[in-house]
Amino acid sequence: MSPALAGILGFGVVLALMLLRVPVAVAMGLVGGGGFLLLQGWDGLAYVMGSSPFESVFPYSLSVVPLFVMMGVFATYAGLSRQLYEAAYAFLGHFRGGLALATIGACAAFGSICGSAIATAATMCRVALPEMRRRGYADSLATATIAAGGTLGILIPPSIILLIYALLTEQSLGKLYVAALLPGVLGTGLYMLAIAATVRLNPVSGPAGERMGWPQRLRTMRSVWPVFLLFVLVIGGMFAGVFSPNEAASVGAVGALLFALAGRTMGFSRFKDSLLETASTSAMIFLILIGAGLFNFFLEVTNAPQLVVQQIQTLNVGPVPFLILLTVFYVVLGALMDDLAMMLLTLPFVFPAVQALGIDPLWFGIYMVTIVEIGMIVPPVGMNLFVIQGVGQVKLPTVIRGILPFVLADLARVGLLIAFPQIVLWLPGLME
Amino acid sequence: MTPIYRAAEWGAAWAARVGALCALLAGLATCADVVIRHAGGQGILGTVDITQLMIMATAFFTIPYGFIADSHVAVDLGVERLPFRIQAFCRMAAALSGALLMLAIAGFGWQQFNTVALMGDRSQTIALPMTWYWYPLLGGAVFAALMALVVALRHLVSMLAGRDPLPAPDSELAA
Repeated sequence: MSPALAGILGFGVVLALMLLRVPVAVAMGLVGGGGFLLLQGWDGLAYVMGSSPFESVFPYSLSVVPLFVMMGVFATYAGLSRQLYEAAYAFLGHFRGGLALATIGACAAFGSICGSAIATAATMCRVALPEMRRRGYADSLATATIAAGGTLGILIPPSIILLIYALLTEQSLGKLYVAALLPGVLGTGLYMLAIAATVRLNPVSGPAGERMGWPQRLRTMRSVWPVFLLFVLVIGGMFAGVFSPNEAASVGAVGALLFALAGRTMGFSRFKDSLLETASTSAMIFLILIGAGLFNFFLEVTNAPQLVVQQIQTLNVGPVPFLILLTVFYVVLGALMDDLAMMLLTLPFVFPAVQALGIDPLWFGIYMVTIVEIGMIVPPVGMNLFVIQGVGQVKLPTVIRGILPFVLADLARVGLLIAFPQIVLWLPGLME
Repeated sequence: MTPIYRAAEWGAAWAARVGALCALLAGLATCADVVIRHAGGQGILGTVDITQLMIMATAFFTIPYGFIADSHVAVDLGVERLPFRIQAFCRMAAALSGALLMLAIAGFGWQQFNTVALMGDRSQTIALPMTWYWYPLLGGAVFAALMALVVALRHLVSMLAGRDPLPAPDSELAA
């Protein structure tokens, strides 16, 4: 069997194991090891299994993994989400659909200290859904707003998915985070437009609240300064070159813990819970790095990704048609598969093709996360839909009914990113 | 079955907390280093070495918990629609795959560890023995394999009995 064929078959075996519910990282690790045994015998297997897991975790740059996760968990436990929501409501509540707009604003702000879409959605659901129900909002609009707004957590830095992308593709995490800023603002704006369009078509779905005066607005702003301080320290520090990503992650995690302690929201029991939550997500990421390391090692030996790149090059497809086809492929795949799994499985083949076509890897990272965001709100496996269903105690069809405008907003964002790549590349360009 | 599972869950949860605490300690050391350097000092010697050691501990102390809490990313596409016993069989096979991978990492890692010990390698700035970095990997990989085997045992019992011996959600048990 030729090595390239072994590589393609290995990909098929990973897919088959995944369908049997073997964790993606385990499937990749076993196939990577098994592939080495097949191609290079016992010695090859011993070398790669003995060294790759160590090398996958040992680099100093990986300290950002648990620390950025920890920052988000501590921020969640610090109870900053309610203050953010109240501040956003003070400014936007008097518009039609104002509570939904405030929810998107609060999700974006919370996403700037928490890198998880699920955590952002679950946290905001507890805060925003009861309030929207109390004000007579349609459940479909309220729940879909939170499901979609939650996805901003994985785009606006510090994002866990971008972190994994940076580690797997060896991109600068600092630049990726800075690159995500404008697309994050764009995403927030487009979601707000989606809400405005929804309430225009169906005014009773999101009635306006009372207008607040400037003294009240400024009072609410006083309680959200920790969020802005953390964001400026972490992302501003990286942008200005004051901190390396590792230092920024450390400052973020310790800072979020201090705010939680100062706000008296972190007792010993909650501290234990927050450590466990950090551990759960960190374990998932580290095992992915180990599994992907083994699988990528195997793929490099087989040259299978290069074969895929050659096939794409013979088709003579330009970057834009390639990206349009890729978007369709990912949206369909994202509707069937967990989004992180989708990214892990396809990146070893897609990323070399992206590089061969001259597409900027930083831009592609943001594009990839935007696609993942769509996958998180598209039925039947959109994770955020299930989070809202569980936390908000609503029926799944109710959430799905309101999601279409947000999916359209996401697709519009993908189109804008393809048409105007400077939205992504301008800010990181200033760092050079 | 239940006492074994509860004990495993308790042990994995505590190891995971210790792992996360190691990350926090690494963060505190880095912060102290940043503050001292920005104040014009030399920083803390060996921060990078210590951070790497702590992060090795974080990774390999938390991975076992991922198996028992089912938090490693898996695709539940077709399995959940299958009859219960077949579902249990698939989950058992998945857990055994995890155990196999972690045992392979521990076994081949042990060979590599012996080479490192023989060479007497040390870390770059404060000359910590490189074997220290291998202890969390070896211990964590063996512990993770054990946890995966406990999960496999749970699903074996489920398959044979036709019902889950532990109906309560895992996360509540571990908390």
